[in-house]
Amino acid sequence: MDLSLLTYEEGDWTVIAVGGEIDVYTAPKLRDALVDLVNKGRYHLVVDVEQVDFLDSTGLGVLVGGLKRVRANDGGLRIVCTQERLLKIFRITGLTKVFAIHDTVAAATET
Amino acid sequence: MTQVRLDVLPDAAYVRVARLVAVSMARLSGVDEEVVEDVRLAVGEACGRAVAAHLQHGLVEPVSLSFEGGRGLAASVVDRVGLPAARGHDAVAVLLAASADRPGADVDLVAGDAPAVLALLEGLAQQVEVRTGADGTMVDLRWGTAG
Repeated sequence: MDLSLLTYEEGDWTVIAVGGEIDVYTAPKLRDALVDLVNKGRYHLVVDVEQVDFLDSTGLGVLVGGLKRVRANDGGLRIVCTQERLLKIFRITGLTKVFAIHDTVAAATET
Repeated sequence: MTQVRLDVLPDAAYVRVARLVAVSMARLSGVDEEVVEDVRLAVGEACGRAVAAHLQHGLVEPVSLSFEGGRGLAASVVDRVGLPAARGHDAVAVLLAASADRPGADVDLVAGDAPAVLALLEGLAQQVEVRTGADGTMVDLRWGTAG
């Protein structure tokens, strides 16, 4: 399955709804999307992975890279995820302490 | 006992093939359905790390995977990048050192990023053994059967 990306605005936040598999093959597409948004001055990002079937360390690396970019501009990158199998990956790699992970886009975009 | 061998060309597009085979072998081998997802991710991580190592060193040879199913599943992933010989924790240290010395690596695309990969392997497989050597690195992963 390929990667799908849907980007929309929610108040002051830009939401990227991701679907499919984020792996070593597809992660560059997500990386390019995040870089493009930052280059356009969007520094408050929400990455919604509720429709993601698979996430590996390359995908995590892209999310960390995105977080570094927005933080360099006083922004933030929040994650929307309720899938236990994905949350487990964030926990194992210690990234639950790095990312703010929310249950819904509405919760993530509250200031 | 069922044995499957798979040679994967060093191309990121083929790592998902390794994951599909891993899931099939896990189910055939009676691995608990809740653990099959761990098998998929762990084998994908090990294969992705090996493929990345080949790409970084310009190796065109395939990465070798072998699966042995029966009462549980054993998966072995082998690359051909020569490293100092070590086993266990020492081999992990060798991989971490090799990972830290990657000039020009894309900071966002951490395929094969040793700390994250090794953390996931340790967290997902019931047994992990790493061996490094002049012929390459072998990562052995094991899971038991349901119940």
